Amino acid sequence: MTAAAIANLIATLLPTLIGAYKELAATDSSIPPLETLLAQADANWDAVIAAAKAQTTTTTVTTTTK
Amino acid sequence: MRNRSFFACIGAILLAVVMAGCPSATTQQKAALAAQNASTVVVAFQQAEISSYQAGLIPADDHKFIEAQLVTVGETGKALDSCIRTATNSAGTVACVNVAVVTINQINTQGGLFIKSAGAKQDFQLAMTGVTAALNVLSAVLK
Repeated sequence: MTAAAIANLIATLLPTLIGAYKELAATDSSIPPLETLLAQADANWDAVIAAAKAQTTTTTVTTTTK
Repeated sequence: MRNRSFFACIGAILLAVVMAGCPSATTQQKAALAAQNASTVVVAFQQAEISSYQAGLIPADDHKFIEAQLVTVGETGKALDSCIRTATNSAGTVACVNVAVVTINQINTQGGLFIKSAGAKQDFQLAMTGVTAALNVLSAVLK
């Protein structure tokens, strides 16, 4: 492959690759940071576990007052 | 000079290829978003389930079973989050999600077998299907 052919190949591929990267970067910026998402998810799971445990350990006490 | 330009172009291409072809951070973000969506589904379902139980619409046995399952769902979610945090590439991240999906599917099946109340069973299975759907979005995106 000659230098000219390589140059042509580069000229053809570069815009495509840069476009793909820009698209990827745009996708990244539309999603909150990883740790923010995981912290929110963890907080939700913690709340679910705490509430579920509270529900499963709740006992019904029936008292009769005379 | 011509050689320097040539190598600069090659370097630019390699950089673009590396940056475009290494979406592990994005995959983790998408997985984390899926996990967050799934957790939101479960929180909403749990609140509705407790309200329904308190209103007398769900039998006590079904309620306790469902809440016990939600402990496992929550622990599965926490394990998923931890797995996503430590995943080093896209395949690892997808594997984290797939493990969680398998567990949730098992819980869904158990719910179908145990829960007696038709309404509670339907709501529970709908919620578990919602969780797996939220998580499966990631696999669909990466295909």
